[in-house]
Amino acid sequence: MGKNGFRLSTLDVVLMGLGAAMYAVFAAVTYFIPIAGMSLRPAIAIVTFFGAAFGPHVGFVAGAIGNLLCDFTWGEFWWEWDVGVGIIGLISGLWWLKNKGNYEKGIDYAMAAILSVIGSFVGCFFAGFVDVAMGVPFEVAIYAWAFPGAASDAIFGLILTPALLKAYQAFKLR
Amino acid sequence: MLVSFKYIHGDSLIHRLDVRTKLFMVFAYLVMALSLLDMRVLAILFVSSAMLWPLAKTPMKEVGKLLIPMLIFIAFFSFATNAFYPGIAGKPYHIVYQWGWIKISLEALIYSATVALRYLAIFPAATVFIMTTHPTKMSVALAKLKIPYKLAYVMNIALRYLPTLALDYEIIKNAQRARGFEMDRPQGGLVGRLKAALPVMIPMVMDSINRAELIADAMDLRCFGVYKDRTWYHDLKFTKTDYIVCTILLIGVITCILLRLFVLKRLWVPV
Repeated sequence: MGKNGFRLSTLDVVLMGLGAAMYAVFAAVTYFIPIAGMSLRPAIAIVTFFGAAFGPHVGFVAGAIGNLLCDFTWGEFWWEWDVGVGIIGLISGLWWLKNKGNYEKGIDYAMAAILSVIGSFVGCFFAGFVDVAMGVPFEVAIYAWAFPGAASDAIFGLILTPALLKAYQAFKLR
Repeated sequence: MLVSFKYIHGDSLIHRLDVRTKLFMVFAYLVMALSLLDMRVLAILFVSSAMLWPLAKTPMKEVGKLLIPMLIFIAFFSFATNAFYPGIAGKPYHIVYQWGWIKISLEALIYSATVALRYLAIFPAATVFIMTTHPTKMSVALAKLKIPYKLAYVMNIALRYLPTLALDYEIIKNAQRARGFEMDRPQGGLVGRLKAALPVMIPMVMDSINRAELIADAMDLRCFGVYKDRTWYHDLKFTKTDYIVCTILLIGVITCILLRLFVLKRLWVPV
């Protein structure tokens, strides 16, 4: 992000790629553990962390491409969920616009955790309502897919995002 | 299991296809499978898709390792999501089992099986694409499809580092196990289980950030992103085979859409 507007740096490009690959790896570990009509995804913490530490643009692309890659590896394609996971990364990164990735105070960690919870619900419900618009019954799209997905992602984001940010702060100081 | 789906160098018919043709192939199978609600046509689609494995000379041992858990997961996912919603395929429906408020209709069972077959029909095409497409050529193909090259590079990096990170995951997990961390049956409920993920997640994330800085420095030194457009070391060219494959796929897609619109409008129920 430059002074004269948005400019994607080389580091942003690489972080997006590695973030996406890492999400796909961790998602594959728990792919076969079902929760209602979804898979369990502690990997969502990778997306929320990349958003919070490197910006909403990195979070969005890492989440969207990571989920696309994960879908693709298993022979699926749910574009609305790819965008939904991207939204989770995007919202998680909103506090970055204020602190530019410097997590020093308690409020920074609290905001990262809160935004990852909000992002989980917005992202999953976005995907759920797109599914409804595409003809999936409301009960299936919202009760079986969006809500369990959002609730579990919110828990993972709430617990794991601040822990990863704390470790990253220590890593930066080395 | 994590490193099973990666590029495997080879010289098969599928390897020689242009990456754009292979992308279109996956897209075509997606459209064909998602446009149909008929198990008979989906079964034909699955067989044609599975034929890609021998055509790509894919090691069947690798595919077989994943196919069985995939089948179990697809069956569970499809039935858990759809079978308990009797009217999912429309009305009228016939209840075959009822226990309290749980109702299962014949149509919902058929619908669940149809959805499972849909996933199965796409699975071989997607795995063949991953296993026969070099990540570098993937970014060239995306750039040729007018996708900004920085985004194409994101995909390139993600595909390139997927097997490396999967290997890192296994190494870090085994290293933590050797240090006495309980990785398989962690104590302390949900929070304890989540915390058990951190000894693997944290080193892997920090190592990746370190790696990202090195890669970005190397790319900057080679002037990545200085110009709006760029050239590529590899070039892609459509051959006669690509045109033939694309034509066959296009005919398949149009046929499936026409079938759905005029012939197979509803779910096929074999009664």
